[in-house]
Amino acid sequence: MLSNYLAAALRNLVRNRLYSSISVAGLGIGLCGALLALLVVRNQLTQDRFVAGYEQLYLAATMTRTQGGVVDYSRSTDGRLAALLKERFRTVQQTGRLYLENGGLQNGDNAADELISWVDPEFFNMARFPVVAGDLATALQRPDGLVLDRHTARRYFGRDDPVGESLQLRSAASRELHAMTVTAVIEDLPAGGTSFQAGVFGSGLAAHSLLAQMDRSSPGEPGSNAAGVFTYARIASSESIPAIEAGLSPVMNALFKSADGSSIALELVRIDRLNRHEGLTPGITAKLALTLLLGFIILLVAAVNYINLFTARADQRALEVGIRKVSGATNGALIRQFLVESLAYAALGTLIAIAITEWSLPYVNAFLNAGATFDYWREPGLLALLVAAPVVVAALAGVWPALTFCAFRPGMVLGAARSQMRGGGLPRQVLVTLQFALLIGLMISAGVVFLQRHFALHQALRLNTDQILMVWAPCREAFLNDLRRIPGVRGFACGGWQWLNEEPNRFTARARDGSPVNLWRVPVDLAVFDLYGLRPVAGRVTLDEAGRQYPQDARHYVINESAARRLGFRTAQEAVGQKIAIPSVVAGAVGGEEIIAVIPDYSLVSVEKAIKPTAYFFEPSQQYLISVKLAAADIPATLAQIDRAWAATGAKAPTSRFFLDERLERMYLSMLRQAQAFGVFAIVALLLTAFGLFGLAMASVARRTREIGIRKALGATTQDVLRLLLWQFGKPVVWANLVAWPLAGWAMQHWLAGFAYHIDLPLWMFPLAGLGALLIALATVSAHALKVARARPMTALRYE
Amino acid sequence: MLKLADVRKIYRTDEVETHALGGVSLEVQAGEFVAIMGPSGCGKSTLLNILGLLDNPDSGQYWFFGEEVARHSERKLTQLRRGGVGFVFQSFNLVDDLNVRENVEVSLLYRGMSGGDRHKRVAAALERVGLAHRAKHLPSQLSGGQQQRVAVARALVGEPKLILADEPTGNLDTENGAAVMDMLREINKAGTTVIMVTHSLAHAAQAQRTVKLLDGQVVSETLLAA
Repeated sequence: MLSNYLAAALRNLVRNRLYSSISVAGLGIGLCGALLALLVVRNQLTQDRFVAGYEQLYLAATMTRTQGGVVDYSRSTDGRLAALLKERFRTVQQTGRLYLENGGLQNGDNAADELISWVDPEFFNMARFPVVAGDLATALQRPDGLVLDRHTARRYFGRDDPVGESLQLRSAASRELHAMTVTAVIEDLPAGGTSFQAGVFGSGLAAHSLLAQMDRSSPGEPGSNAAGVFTYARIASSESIPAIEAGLSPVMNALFKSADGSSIALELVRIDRLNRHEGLTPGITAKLALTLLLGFIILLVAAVNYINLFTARADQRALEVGIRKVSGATNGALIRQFLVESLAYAALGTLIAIAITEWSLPYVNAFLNAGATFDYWREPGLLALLVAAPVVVAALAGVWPALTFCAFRPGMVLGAARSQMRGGGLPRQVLVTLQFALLIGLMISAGVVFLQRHFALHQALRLNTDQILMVWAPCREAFLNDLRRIPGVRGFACGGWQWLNEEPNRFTARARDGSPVNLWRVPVDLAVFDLYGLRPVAGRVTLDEAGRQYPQDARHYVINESAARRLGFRTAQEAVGQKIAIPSVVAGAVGGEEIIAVIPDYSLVSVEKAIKPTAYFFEPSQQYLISVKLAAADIPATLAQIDRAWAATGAKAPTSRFFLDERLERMYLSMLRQAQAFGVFAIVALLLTAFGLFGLAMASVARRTREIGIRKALGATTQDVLRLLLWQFGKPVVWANLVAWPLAGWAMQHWLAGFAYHIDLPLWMFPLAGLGALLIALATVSAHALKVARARPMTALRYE
Repeated sequence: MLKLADVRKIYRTDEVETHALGGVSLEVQAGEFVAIMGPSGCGKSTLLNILGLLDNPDSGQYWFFGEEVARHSERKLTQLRRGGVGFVFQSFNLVDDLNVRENVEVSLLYRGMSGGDRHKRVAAALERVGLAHRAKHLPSQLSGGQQQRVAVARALVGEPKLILADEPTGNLDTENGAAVMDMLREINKAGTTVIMVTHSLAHAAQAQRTVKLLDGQVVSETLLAA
């Protein structure tokens, strides 16, 4: 019986190659879209699973609630937490800290900047990374122990197992070189699949390591309670976690000794769940949901194509249905037959989807900087999904055509009126309308996203970053004097790393009405604003018009517009000269006393986020980052001179420098990629919809040939018939706008509201998208319509 | 035996009511060969659909070999049809995507018969209509006459008690028409009841009885010496 079903299905498939390929390829592309979305999302949800025993490995995250009500999550914790955890809780089996440093490595002439992870000696006993060479358990028990990942080992030694070899490590702050010994090599951290940022691990026992330095400093000294430490713990039972969190939070608050009334709480997050933690990765839920939604939309569009093309050719299959019914087939048997047929289509589509996914996944990963994997032959779960996918798709997409066919009365379909069989005309119109609504919605959304990105990258930045070189170096007078003498250097200014807004310190100030306000703190030279072309909106950053500088202390400070608003000033002008006291981060040092200028809001970090209310201070002890403005001419010579000036300071390590523009481009790349991904999904949806419509036009024109012949025989002109046919396909597109506009408008309004600085909803985009969709629809069907409309009536009538 | 008593069928659309059958009473004995004649639109096809259990009458009664079926559900009618009725149509109605053997096999598919049995019976039926050598051909590769012989094979392969033929020779030339008539007569002689709609007086003359229909009613019955 099955062979009889399949014979009919397969011959029908072959006979209608074009329809079949549109259906099967469409299902393939749709499934591929959904699959890719799923894999990318899964990648986000299963980070760090390459670490053996990840199920028991937790990162202690800090949740700070300020008096101003701001809740702020951070992956880093107080450096003393690890010891407390192990000491006080029996279920905590091991703890280990990790502290990142922007250092460098050097083997002879082979030198480069490297991010170094300083970790406690027991770290790898707790987090068991896959080993390539050496003994990981003892690797960091010696003070000069260094663990490299495979590609770093290859970079400095040209081989995978340089265990026992010596390597120079350069620290960020002192820029001194220290000899280290490679004690183990680990596998490369999976690109896009881990929250660990660096594959170079140094032993925290080394006296020069940041961990050792932190442990040596006495409480109260800067750096003593360094809040940049990642604290990991192996915890035997997850049930004990609430008790640990509750038990430690008061201790943490006692340690933290908040000056501004903010309180902190501890949250233990399993390492593979860090990237889906809404507090640590804000907006992640929405982003993942959107990814899945886009994948699902593509699949939906493809499924609609399948349903429409199947039912549109109902008349072709009606006879078969009639004969089978006459022969005693029950509705159940026929539904089974057509579901089996749908299953065959969906299975073919799945094979295509697997092939496209295999081929495209590396590009998708590179594009999104993700590490999604597709090892279905090794993952039973994924394999089961691939087997289940065609069954589910066949059931969903096949049920409607199957029911349509079963509803045929044999007496009717076997009679002469077969060509009048409509096979779900109205539902098909509804489905096409839905398809176009999705398409128009996607077009509007992609357009809005694109405009907003453009705005963010060009107008919202507000800084002149041309030819600005960033040099990681302490702001020492000798080096600065050398810089001054280089002809290609137009100017420079010192600042803290917070200038790049990575994780600025926060403090609480009192607004005019006495209420607490959270401000962020960035240590800078006041000359920095001029260097970046940031003109104050009120006040002056210099003492007078002649440009004399303020005395070098923190007393006179600058705020941005957001801070002025937050502090309760109606205008920027009003803030200038106001005395709002701000404590210093350095114990005993002078804090901020008077606001001298208000600068425009700017951001060197994600433009998606609201620009934080910030105060800019002179704090020499915090300044490790020099912004150097270069002349456009002969930049290589200038760079060489800067390197020489750096070497002249006596530093053994090379200069650590980068161009700000390049950094910004890298940073905006991921945002740009999001917008582009949106565009790609929209284009795929567009192609699928257009192909579906093309097939539908073919089927419909074939079905209406007789009608067209009659119309023409009765005097209709080619134009009349053309108008009739085009309107048949234009109508759903017009209706689709009614569905798409309000929904897209609502969604995009909502999306834009998430930006601190955003464009107004571009209303002109709506009719444009609608018109675009209509033109696409008409262009798709016009060839067929024209051909039939121009045929002589006899040809059309003889078609019967 | 088939018996219709005052069978009525009305087709309704929003605005039009068509009385397809207006109280037809008719008896057909088991093993009889009956020809139904009448102009277009007189209700022949509707009558055939009801006789063939493809449709229910709106009122009246229908005994199908002793069983009253006028109010039977679709499912029950399907069960009775399965193996009980064979159909031959004017336009052959072969499934384009199935070859000759598979087309004939469709009649046996829904009876829970094993593949081997089906195969044997299909081969025998094709042998009977002289098309065994065309078993693997698709309908499009056959002439009209051959296609109708495949349709006859499909109707008789299930060994039904009743064969309904709706203008079986209407699309055929004289020679092929005669061949199909010969086959129907032969089937009838073997004991199967045959009811045939035809416009051809010559073909009607080969039946044992002719029933004339006009405007949904039986207007005359002529017994012929077979």
